[in-house]
Amino acid sequence: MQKFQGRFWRILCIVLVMALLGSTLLGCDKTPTNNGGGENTAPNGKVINNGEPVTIIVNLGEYAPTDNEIATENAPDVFNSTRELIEKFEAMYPNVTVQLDTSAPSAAGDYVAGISQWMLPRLAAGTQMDIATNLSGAALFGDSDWFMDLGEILEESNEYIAEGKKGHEKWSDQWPSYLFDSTSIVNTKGQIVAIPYTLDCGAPTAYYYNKSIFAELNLEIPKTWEQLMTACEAIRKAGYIAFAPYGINTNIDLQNWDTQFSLGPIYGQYQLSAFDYNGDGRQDQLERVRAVKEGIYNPLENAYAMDIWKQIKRKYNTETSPILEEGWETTDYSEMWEQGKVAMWEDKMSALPSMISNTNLTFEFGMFPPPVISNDTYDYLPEAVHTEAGPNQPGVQSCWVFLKKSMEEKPAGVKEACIEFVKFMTASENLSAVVTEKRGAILGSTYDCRIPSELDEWMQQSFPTYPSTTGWLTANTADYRQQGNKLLEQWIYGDITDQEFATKLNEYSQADADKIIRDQGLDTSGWTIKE
Amino acid sequence: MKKKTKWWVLLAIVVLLLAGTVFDYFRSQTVSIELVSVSPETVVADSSVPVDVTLRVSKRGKLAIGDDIAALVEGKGSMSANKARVDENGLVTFRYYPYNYLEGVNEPGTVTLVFRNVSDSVFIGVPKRIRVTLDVEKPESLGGNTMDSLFGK
Repeated sequence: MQKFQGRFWRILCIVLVMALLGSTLLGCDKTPTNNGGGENTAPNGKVINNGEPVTIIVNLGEYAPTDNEIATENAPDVFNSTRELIEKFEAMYPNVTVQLDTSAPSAAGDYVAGISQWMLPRLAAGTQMDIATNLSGAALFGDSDWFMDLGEILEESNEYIAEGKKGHEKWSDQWPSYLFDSTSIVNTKGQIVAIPYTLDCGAPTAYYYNKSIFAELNLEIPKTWEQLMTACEAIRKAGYIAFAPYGINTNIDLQNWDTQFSLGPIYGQYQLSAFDYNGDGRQDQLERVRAVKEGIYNPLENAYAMDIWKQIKRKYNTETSPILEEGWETTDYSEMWEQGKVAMWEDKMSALPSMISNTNLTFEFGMFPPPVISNDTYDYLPEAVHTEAGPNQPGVQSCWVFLKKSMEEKPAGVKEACIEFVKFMTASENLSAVVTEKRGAILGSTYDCRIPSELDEWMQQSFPTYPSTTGWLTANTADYRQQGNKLLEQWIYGDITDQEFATKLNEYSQADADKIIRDQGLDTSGWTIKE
Repeated sequence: MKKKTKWWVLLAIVVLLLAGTVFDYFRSQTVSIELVSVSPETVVADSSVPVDVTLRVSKRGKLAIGDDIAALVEGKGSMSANKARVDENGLVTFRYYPYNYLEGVNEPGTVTLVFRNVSDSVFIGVPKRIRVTLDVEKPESLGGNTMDSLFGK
């Protein structure tokens, strides 16, 4: 019996090992995808680094290819276009190696602090990537001196674009000019420190809604913040849950989606004439800092600057909220949404494919862009204006940055290869391949870039229009943003008074602006500073 | 005694797994997934010309109304949904968006769509599958909208 038991264990082990080996081999199916047989020759016989070997380190963020090339039942999501574009680039320039840096900042906690904590040690040790698409461009770290000024490079020709097409003669012509006014592209000093890559589909977020509930209650799609509140009141009165907030918005944040997409842009528009100091019809980062120092964002002095936060409190404090239910911070609404008990579901545009695939949904859903605040909430605000169809000047979703430390301290061949690589990746037909594979989550930033067919219906929607501003950004550096978020939380939950909130918020805001002025050596002469 | 018990428990697990697999296998044999249509019949490497693939699903001779069918693209392009439910006529339609032709990267070739009934397995997951292979041809030119329609010329 003892002998038999030993044999049994041996056989069992062999069977299990074979099964494990078999499944591993099946899982690692390396059948090559069709990479085509097109010509992979460099334009005009171009050579990089005199043909000497050179390696560039690239962080593609969410555009990094997936490990598996072939979709399987266990890993159905694959992303191959950037892998294939890199292979094509390397075939054109056999001496160039594109090495992918797949590290990422921590997803937990404050987003800005996460990137900062991820990058600072790498910059200090000289182990940073050379180029990246996931560092938020000028919007967050444009003043940190991490990135190279790209103004001159954008004046060059881009030979990966066909002759006669926009951008061939002068690379920057490949993009509409409004993008070079974007605060994601231009820093406080007015330097272009990022190159646009992908754009939001109007807004990066959408309200998915239950068409049956809207039809039953005769509700129109809300276009303004006030219409949203009114619709939610009617929905709740009828016994439904009005609104399921997206996970990230269950953390109290000064820059939550409402500030970014529903309130901030309109308050920016309202104050544009006050902080558009150079009169170019938009607000840049420098004008934002000056506006802070001149007291335009100060909620102690200006009722409007307090009103925006009152609207945030109106939504997120369940004692006053016409939108949110008690316990919204911790409730998982997924099942109730599927069962048709929730009228609106807040999510990213990129959730569309999974929403379409959700066979548990018991109703037909539609989508609309986040409603914006208008003069139906406060008389003094401008009336919301909407396009007939399609978004107006969609904002930057991702952009390329060149790490200054790499460009200055590594051999010149690295910079040369990086420039060629980004020119190649941003050529419209190559960018189209990336955008199409993202299935409607993003748009390309260049003329000629294809719009994913999945977005045909979305593009027929009416979208709010407003000028390019920084929104309503009271503080922009990681530390002061975090302190501001904590303050907002205390105020929303009634731990501090309006006066205390306004006083402290202004203090953080002023200190944040002072830090930027100091770090950037900004000239504040001519500013009317009000502390 | 302790060792003996362990042996029996292990054996019972193996037998149960085997029985579950056999059960699900025979259960899957009662499911039928047949291709009804591919429209348009000619598939071109242009994402603005999507392809509707319709399947009829039945189970033990009856329409498999309410079953979930999962779809997978082996190759390039994407499905508008990776899961859909069989309607009251026993039909389910998936929309496949082909890739856009791009020299040296996205060349013409074949794409296989794999559909499987994910509602018919009870224990191990041995769903009925059907594979539909599409020959994707080079388009004369790419259609659809470009960003020019948003930016203006």
